[in-house]
Amino acid sequence: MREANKIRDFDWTLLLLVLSICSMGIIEIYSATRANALAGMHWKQFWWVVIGLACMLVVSRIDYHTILDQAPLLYLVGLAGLVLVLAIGERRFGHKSWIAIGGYTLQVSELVKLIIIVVLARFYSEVRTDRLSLLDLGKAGLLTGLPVGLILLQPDLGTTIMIVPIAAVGAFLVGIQWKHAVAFLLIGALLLPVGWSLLKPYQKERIHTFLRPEENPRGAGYQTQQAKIAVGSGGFWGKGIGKGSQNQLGFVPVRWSDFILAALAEEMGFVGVLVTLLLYMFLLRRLVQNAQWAKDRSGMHIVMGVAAVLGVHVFVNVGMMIGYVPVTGIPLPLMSYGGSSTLFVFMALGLVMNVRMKRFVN
Amino acid sequence: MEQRSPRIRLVVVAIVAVLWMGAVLARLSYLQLFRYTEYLGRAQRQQQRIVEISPKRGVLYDRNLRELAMSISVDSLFAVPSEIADPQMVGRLLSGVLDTAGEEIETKMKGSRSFVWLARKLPPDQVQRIEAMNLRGIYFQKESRRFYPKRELAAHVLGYVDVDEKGLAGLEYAFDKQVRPKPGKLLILADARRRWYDRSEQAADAGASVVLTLDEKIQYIAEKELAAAVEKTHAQAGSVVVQDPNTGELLAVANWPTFNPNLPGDFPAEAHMNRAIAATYEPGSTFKIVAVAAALEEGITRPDEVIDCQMGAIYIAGHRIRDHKPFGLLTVSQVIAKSSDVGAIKLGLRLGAPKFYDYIRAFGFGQSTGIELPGETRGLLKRAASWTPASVGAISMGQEVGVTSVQLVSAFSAIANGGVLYHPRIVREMRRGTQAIAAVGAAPARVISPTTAATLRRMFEGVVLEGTGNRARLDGYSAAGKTGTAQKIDPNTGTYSATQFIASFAGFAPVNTPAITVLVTLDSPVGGYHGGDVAAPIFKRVAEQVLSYLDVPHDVAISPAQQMAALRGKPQPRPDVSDFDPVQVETAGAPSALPVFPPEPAAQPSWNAAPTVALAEGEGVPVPRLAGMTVRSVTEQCLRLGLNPVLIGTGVAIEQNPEPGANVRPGSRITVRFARSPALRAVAVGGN
Repeated sequence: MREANKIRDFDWTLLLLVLSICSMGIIEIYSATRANALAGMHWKQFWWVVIGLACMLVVSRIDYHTILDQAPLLYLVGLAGLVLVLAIGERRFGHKSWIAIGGYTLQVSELVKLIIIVVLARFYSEVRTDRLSLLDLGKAGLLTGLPVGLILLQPDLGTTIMIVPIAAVGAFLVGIQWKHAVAFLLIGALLLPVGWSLLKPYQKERIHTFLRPEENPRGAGYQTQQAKIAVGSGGFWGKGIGKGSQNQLGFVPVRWSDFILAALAEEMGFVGVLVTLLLYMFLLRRLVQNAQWAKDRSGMHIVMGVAAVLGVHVFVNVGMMIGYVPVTGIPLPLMSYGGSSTLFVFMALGLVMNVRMKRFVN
Repeated sequence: MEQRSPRIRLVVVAIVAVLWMGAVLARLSYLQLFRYTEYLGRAQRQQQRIVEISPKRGVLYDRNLRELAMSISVDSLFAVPSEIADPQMVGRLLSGVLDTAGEEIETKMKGSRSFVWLARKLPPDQVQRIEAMNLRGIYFQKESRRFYPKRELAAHVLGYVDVDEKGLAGLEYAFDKQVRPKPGKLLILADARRRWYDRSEQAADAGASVVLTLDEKIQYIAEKELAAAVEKTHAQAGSVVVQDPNTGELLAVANWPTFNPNLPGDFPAEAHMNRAIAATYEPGSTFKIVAVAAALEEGITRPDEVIDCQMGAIYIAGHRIRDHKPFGLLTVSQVIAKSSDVGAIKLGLRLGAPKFYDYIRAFGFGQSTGIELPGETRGLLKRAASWTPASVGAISMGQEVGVTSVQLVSAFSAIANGGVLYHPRIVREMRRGTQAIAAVGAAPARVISPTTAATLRRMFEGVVLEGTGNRARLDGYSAAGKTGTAQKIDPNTGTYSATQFIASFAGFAPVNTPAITVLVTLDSPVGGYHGGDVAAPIFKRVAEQVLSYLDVPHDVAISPAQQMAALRGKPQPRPDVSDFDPVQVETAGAPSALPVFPPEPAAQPSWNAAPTVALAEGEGVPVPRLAGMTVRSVTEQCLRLGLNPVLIGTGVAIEQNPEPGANVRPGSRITVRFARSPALRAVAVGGN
């Protein structure tokens, strides 16, 4: 069994794609922050990537079956973490999502995403059927719903939106019945007004702004507008790294993080965005391949879960940048600045490597 | 179906992903390719504010390249309203210094979020007071302001400009197109918080400079003597014109009343009039030059021909004309020397109207001289066909014609230089950068032969030696000229006034090799009114000083009194001429109600002379070391410390004033010079 964990079994293609994306991210973080008080942020991100690679290596070395065995414990740890955050967490950007560890702060919900992937993978693989019953769906919903509810209390709508699709995509791939899927969609649609009434005023404003951005260009539509102007003024080749005026003059909101792609679109143009998107598409395709090559269902579910989370992140973030999706604080995985989200992605990729390296082992 | 379900579902997911990717790319190409120009424009509109700044006009120099009109940097006040928390308070504070109501300032600040002019071209004391307030969102921008350092000197020739530096009179008006530079632009970058943080100036394309033919010192002599004469004779107006007879270049054009072109609005309109070219008057006897010159040139008389002046009275076409004195038999030379009207009339009648008219035209009367100044009048000269029988007589003695001083001085120059009429010129050349373009005037034309001119010079010398112009006799130089005393036409009655005269003297010196031609005209002197009595002495004072200044060698013995003075080592009567400096004279002169303008040094601010503040010991802000920092970081640091940065150039800081470590009051200016050169940067950083 040991001999299977050879270095050549590592997914070097996947790693190359990941590091390419990280490099583009670091370059753009450098450009977006070089002229102000945040200068030097790209080095921090560089070190996060290095630490992330180490975490990935560690996670890939632990047999994922061992991790799956500990799923209930991990689940409880995750819930406890979320409760702790609500109790003693730090408030930033309006959410209580951060917890201080040493000199650093950790966004617990990022770690919870990873735990949910593992827990759902174990749950779906234990169902052992291609047809999910309503009861099974209910259980999956409960497993996901508990942490999601806690995150909503923070209140971090963005992260919530990211977790629900993990459950949904999993359910879809495992075999939710078409009639159930349709029914859930209908119920969801009917519940929308109820959900709307539960939203905070600023959240309502964001959605309203999204629907009619021109109405309030100075207020809430500002971010969407400015991102659009940045993207549009980039043109085909872009204005050049460090020369995007929207970016450098601070018109692009949180340009080193959630809107990093808008900054990149301005400075590297259509070509730059195209390259970035292609890198992500290759990454996702590589993940799906790995899922198909997994030797067991639980392995496949883990990899598909990772693919689903990354995919949804990329889809939503890109959509937000060009005005397809309302502004929700969703980082672009591997590119946006942020320690917690970088660590989460690399640990998730560690799970993928883990599954891959076990594929020839019986 | 159950078996293949995950695969189908994967395909569904893949299809969704591909569709999404397509939609994103469609949207991207729509934004980045199709609407690129629009979004680029929107980005620029919200990031840049372009403000036009009035640029530096070209300099007006005298012939020795001394500045007569120049543009200096002054401060204009602008606000960045988005940085101002309490516009009402700021408005109230500023209204205490500016002559504007607080509400008005407040309204102005509502006009824009990122930039609005509050006051243009402020005097230094107001700038200092506003700086001392250290208001957030209130900034200064250097603009240029026209400055006439010699004040009234050559005011009528130079003209003046309006607040936007547009030429309104004189050469400023005539050469506005050449002197006016292309407007410069001030580009301000605004960041997302609507704070301007960087500004770059698109350097204005400097306007051409104009080199005048005037000589500052000769101009000063002319103006000084004119002013003294006006004070002495209580004349209403007057002018003194000095010309180089060998080129037609005007060396001085002085007029009274005059004005200060720095504040043209404070003077009545008649003070703005350049009488030397714009005022027409009946010349009187000085005009006899034409009849005599023509008669000699035509060979119908000789200097020694004897003419019967009929004891001072002649009848032409029923009009009796009386001489100012009864003369009997006079030679032609004596007719000129004693200024006999009857003699002149007889010569005119001998010429006949058509020929006489042609000579008058040939001497440049009745037409524009083509001088480069605006507002020139052609004078008055009826066509020969419409002359009455009495006209020839009247015109011979300088009536029924109107001339300007510039026309008359040019006619005398033609006699002086040997018979060639040069058109009077005021501009020598234009300079644009290192390129100099000489001004080309109309081609000179010969009016009379050199022989005739030489004869005339002798005759006019007689005027000074033994005739009406003996008070124009110079010390150390021979001189020639002609007096003129003309009755003014009373505008009420249309007849000649018995009390108002125009006294004039036109002449040149030295007689054989004339260096200057001078015309003095006084309008309505009180008391003595004869040209020989009031104008000739001014000619003498001006000509002596100018000739001495020009180092023209003496051709006549200097009077013993002067020689004695020179031997005793006493100061010469005019010691102030050669080392005259109008600026000193101006500041040393009588106190004036005019506001004080920045003295000359402010025009070329040397680095060390940049405005600094008194360094108060103990309290205050220590000046940081800024060398090697960028424009942005210097601005940020200075604003943080409450200092007012004055940024010059772009790149990294290489010099600063005050020096690092000095203690200054909050709100003080720190002038920082930037350079782009990497070498300088290395030095500056290394120096840290």
